[in-house]
Amino acid sequence: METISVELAEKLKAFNGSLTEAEKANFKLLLGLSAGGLMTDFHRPEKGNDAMAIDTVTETLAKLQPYSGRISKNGIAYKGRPAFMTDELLTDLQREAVSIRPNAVRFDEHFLGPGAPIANQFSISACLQDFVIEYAGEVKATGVASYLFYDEEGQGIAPHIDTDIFSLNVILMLSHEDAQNPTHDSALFVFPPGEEPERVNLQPGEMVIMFAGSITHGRKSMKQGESVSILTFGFHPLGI
Amino acid sequence: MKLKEKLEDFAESLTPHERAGLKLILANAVAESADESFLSDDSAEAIAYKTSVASICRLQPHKDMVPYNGVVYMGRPDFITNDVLERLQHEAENCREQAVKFHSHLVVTDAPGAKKISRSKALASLISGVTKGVVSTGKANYIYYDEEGMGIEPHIDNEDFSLNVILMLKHTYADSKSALVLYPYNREAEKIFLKPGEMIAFFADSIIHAREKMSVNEEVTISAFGFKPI
Repeated sequence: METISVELAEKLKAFNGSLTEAEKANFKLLLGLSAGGLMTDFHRPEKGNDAMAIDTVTETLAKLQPYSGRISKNGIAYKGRPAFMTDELLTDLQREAVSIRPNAVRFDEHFLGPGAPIANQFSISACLQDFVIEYAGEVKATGVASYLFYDEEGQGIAPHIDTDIFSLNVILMLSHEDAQNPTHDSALFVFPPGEEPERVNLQPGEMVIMFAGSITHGRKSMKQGESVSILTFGFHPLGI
Repeated sequence: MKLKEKLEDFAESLTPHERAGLKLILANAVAESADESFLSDDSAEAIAYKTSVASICRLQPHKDMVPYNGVVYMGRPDFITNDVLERLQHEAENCREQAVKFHSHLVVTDAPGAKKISRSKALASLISGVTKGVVSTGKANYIYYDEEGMGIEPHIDNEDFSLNVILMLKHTYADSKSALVLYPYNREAEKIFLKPGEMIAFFADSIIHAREKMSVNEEVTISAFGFKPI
């Protein structure tokens, strides 16, 4: 079964190479949608055709990009709190997030904050860009910074693949509140090909640099009384 | 050449097992994005949905046998007499306690009475009269949806039920009734309501289909008989 998923993934990768750019984007979206359908409740199917299909999809998605050789098995290039993320900067970003929350727009299962000066400025800062390049290789900042709020029970994001704007996604945790359960229920999950999903816990101020256009990932939904605010920055990987 | 046609050509280069994998991948993409508003939509999600639906229709070696909605027969066959129907209903009811839960429905496989129908000359004759070159796989399931919210998301069937013959045994409801939903390429989804004793035969490996969720106090019991192309 494992051999078949690897061989089919190779064939799908070759097939992708025969497509136009528009078709590639469509094909990637199709595979990303499929990954979401196959990962029921953030669990990888254990056996049978569903297991073969999800391994094929995640393996293919991880290998579609010209820079696939830079991507680790779980798609994460860095996790931790960088020195430049001082308490002062974190507090400024947290305050900005709180200030724009009333204007945030509801998407399927989260709220998206509109443009904000401190976040936008930081998204194109040399310190962030240099840091991302150090861990993930050559990239170009898209200048897109988004505050995301999950503050209703059930909000989260099902397993998916990001659009090109966030092919390389930097996620900064701003706050994670849960009065009932200090260890938290919700978390970012990544789905490495052929392996069990990985839970990625982030403390406020911690950051993850992730190849989000290649590795299937999602945020497990909020329980009652739980809320999460994050800030994400989009980067384009360059070269191979 | 469009992506769906490229996928169709690509599928022909695959082994049967790989093709089954591709089919499953596409079916899950559809299940995640099924939305009728996509028919008049040019968003990326709509294109992915339409591409998947179109490709699944054309992935199988027997693609030329499949009508636009996959359906080759619908009605009440002569051999499903009231006596036969009552026997099957009785057997299904007696088997209910043995049913195994799959996702959001319950299944009993190969009960004797259902198995007998699946292998019967009458059913074989009916099916060979409406589509050529298929044989019974001998698979016969009772499927139960008897709790609010039960149903099946859009999916395609495996090779044991390439051509799926569904016989409605029981459908009770209070206010609203669920349908079997078929998703033909580039057309509105079709809702099928069968009465007890009525049967539908359709290429379930080629047409995305679903059972809508049960409403309050709604129950559906069906029998499914598997056929496959020779």
